[in-house]
Amino acid sequence: MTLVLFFGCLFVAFSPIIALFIFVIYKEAKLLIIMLAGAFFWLLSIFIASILWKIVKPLQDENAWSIAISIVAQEGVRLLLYKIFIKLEANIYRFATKQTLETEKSYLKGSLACGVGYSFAYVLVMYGSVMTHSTGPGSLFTSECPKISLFIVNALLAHNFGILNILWTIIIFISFKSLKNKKENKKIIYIFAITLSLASHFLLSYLTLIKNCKVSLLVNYLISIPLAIIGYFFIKKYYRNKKDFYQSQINETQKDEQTIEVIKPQENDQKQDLTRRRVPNDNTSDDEPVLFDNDIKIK
Amino acid sequence: MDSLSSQEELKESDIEKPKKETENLNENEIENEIEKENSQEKPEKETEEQKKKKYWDRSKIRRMRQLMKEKRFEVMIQAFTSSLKRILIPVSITMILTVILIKTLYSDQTMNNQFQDVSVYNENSSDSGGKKFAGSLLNALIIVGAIVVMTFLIVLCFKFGCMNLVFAYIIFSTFIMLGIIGAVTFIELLVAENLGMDWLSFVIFMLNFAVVGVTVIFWKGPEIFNKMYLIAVSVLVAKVFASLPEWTAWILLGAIAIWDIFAVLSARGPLKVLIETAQQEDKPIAGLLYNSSLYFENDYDNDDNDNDDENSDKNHESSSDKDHKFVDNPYSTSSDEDNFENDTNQPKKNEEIENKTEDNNETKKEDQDDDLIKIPKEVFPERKKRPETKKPEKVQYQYQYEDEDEGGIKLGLGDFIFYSVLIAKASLNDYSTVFTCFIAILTGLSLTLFFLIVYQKALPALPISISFGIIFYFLTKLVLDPFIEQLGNSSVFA
Repeated sequence: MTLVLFFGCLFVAFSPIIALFIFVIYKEAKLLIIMLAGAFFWLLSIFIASILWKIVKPLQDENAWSIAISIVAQEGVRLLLYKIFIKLEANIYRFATKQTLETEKSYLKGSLACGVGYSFAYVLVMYGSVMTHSTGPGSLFTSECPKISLFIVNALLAHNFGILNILWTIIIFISFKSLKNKKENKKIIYIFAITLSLASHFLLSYLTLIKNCKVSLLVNYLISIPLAIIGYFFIKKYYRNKKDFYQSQINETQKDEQTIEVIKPQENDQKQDLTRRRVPNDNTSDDEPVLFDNDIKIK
Repeated sequence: MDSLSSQEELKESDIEKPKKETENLNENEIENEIEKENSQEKPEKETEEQKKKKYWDRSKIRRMRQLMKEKRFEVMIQAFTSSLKRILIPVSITMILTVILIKTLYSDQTMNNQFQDVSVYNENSSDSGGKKFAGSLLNALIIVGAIVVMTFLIVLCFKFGCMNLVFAYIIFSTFIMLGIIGAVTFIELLVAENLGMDWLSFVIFMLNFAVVGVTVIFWKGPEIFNKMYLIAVSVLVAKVFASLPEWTAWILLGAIAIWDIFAVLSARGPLKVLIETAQQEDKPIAGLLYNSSLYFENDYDNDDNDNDDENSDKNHESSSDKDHKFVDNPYSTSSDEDNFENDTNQPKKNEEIENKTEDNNETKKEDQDDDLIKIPKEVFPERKKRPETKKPEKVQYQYQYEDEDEGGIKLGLGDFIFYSVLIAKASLNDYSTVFTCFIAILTGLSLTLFFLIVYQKALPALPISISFGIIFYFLTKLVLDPFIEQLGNSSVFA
């Protein structure tokens, strides 16, 4: 039960993250960076929490206090991450004239990537070092759950928390953005979603204090179902079918075509070739040097 | 490693002016053309319509300009993201391999210091903090000093034209390193896994390993083998450095990062001398200094190596285009904005310059008869960064799009090594330290990459990553580990 247990725990705990990483994030390098940033910010949050925990001595006696600090720090940093993310996103689409479905989709994917990074760091730090002990000879059982190895119970919990961290991030990111939007008239739904995600984080974390593994696992998975449903409906708004979601975003060539299309409708019939020359088409880069060259050639 | 920095600075100062002027020129030119065409095509039409059209044209031009800006920004982001994957993947592979190696070798036994006989100060756990600090500072300074001295030696060698000596030394040392350190590591692995092997096959295997490695790295071979050997080299060196005592290792990492900043960003590094002599004597710079900077790479000599006909054709076209552009720019500075009226002079100049560049290429090709020229870019990339190959950075992006595997942004081998050293030091502790350092290094690397794209200038890749790594290492060790341990003991998820 050494390496087998280790790999079993590894794949149980990281399955949602690995799947999302391979099928969605790895295809777009932009999402990779966002994921890295998410992981980095989660680490920041846990450092804040642990420094507080180290400094204030009375907190060290009770697990309940450490959980509270940790959750507050994580949620606070999640909010910070949202603020930074939305600023960057606005900068990237600074030139985009109108809010299209494409930008909405990329926002959603970005929030997903943030969530994956967040939960990746979470599972790695919270469960990683426990997991690595499973390579040792033998396994570990508690008196409350004599039949299931403690490593597997923890792997299942980590799996659930991994999914939940992604869901929380997506729900909070989308809800806050929708609350900002003045045209949105169903604000109550979003407020409800935010409170639900915050409350479930507290509830589920405190539930892990219960030593009876069956109860805590069951309740954990049960409570995460409504969150999953909310997340599903949030995502469904932007995607009509599954294929759409797995496709990576616009390729470079497509982008070029798009820009040409943007200009064409505004062109006058008489000056088509003049403008076309200025529109980047064959040359992959559209910068001034290229134009410069073209102009010379024409003369 | 400083070669690039100062070179790039020179480059920028050279190029900025022409670029700006060409921009102006372009805009003027566009406007002129539009007006001309307006007047030529429809001279009979009413003035009101003409006015309208002029107005419309102007708005269109404005829109064009905005589009150009937007496009440039997009290109920037695209370049960032497309280059990121290609750099992050080998770095993470190297770090993961290092962790696996260190964990298999030293999970049970403690590491014995391989620098024990050489180093001035040997750390004792009973020593006081101050003594430890002073001693390990001395150790680290000696190692950094060795690097600095080697850099100066290579500059001197270059100045007096005995580059072959340096190349010979580097090839020899790589051979020795792959052979001996590889053999030692292999034996240790055999011992750790409790496996047996006879001496004859062991010697033959190691000899093959080293010879093939040197061939692939310095001469030619499949691309993937080249990359594998470079990763192997950095893992082996990292393993050696990881055996340094705790304090010395961390101070060494900090000192290297500081030296990196100085060497890449300051204009008075030893490399400045190198570049000046290179410009005066018109010699190609063979950069084989310990390299740790992120930079753009221009490679023009790649056309010979391409397998696909189409690709090579494309490359040819693009490179010739680029040569044109590049050649054009310096003259557009010397002449006024009315450059376009003086067209007649330009072709001649261009031809002259083309001839010149051709000559240079010829000399290059002559050089290529030596084995030394074919050294891969990863190790000695500056070779191709000659003064004449300067060009606006945007064209580099263009090149990058055309074939993603070659060209683009490169990371020095030194960075691989020192990232791996940091990770190796971290992996002597708990796993959570490894995770945090891993994420810290990758984040620092992508930040550096971002700055590289923004500032368009060779940058030291070590400082941000190493400082993040060091901070995260100590925070994890001192604060996070006990916190997580307490939560993990009662299997709490928070």
